[in-house]
Amino acid sequence: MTDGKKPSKPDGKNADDTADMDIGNMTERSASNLAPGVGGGGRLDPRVRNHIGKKIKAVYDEVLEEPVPDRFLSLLDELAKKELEGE
Amino acid sequence: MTVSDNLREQFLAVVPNLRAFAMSLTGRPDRADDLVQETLVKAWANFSSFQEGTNLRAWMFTILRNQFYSEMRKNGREIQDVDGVHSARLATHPEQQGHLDFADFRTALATLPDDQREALILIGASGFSYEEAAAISGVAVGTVKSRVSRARTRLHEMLDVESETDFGPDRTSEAVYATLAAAKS
Repeated sequence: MTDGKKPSKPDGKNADDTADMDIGNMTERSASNLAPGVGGGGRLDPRVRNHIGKKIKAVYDEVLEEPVPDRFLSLLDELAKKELEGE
Repeated sequence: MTVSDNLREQFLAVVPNLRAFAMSLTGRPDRADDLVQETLVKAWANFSSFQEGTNLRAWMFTILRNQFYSEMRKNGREIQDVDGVHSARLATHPEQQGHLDFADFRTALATLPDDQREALILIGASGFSYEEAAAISGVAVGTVKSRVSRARTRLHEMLDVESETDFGPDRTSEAVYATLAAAKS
């Protein structure tokens, strides 16, 4: 399991709502954030939520951290080129 | 730098995010990348409708999601292929094979109802706010919140997290789980 801090998101965005997903940050999240029964897993123990959150990030980041396949580089080159020719 | 070079760079920066999101929707690397390709073409063609100063990533996620569901409706295909998820991902990432736990989690995630998985990924992995996720999915903020909540609860049930040793030798969490288990019985 790839534990430990993940690098911050590529666009630097880090919504408050995901604070509970971060390791070591789970005590910051209190029930006052969310109405009971409505919010993000209010009935689950924060440790369980944190554990699940880390796993979701791990599954997602596995793809996120892959290098961009060549097909997309070529595609964007082509789109940019077409645009220039069309101008 | 020309306008189209600039646009190219901006789009390129979003590609990893789009691929990860597409993978969570389709569960298949080949289909995920086809979806990303269609999204890039569409977003490029419709860039004039993007409002400067708003979130480009959220805008492209919306396009990708709409594209995915419109194809689903057209083709009537199953949304997630759980076996496909499993074999495809394990095949591309043999280093993960030792981690049954990780594979189990991936499968559990794939068996979530699509709306719940989508909400959980947008909030818990893509880093969108509830408001942004609501806009991407075209639902109310409260709906996203309850989907995320249900998704977490369901994953918890499926994986029986309480019995896992994954927490490591952490006395505090062991104590917490002992208390939880006692409270349940």
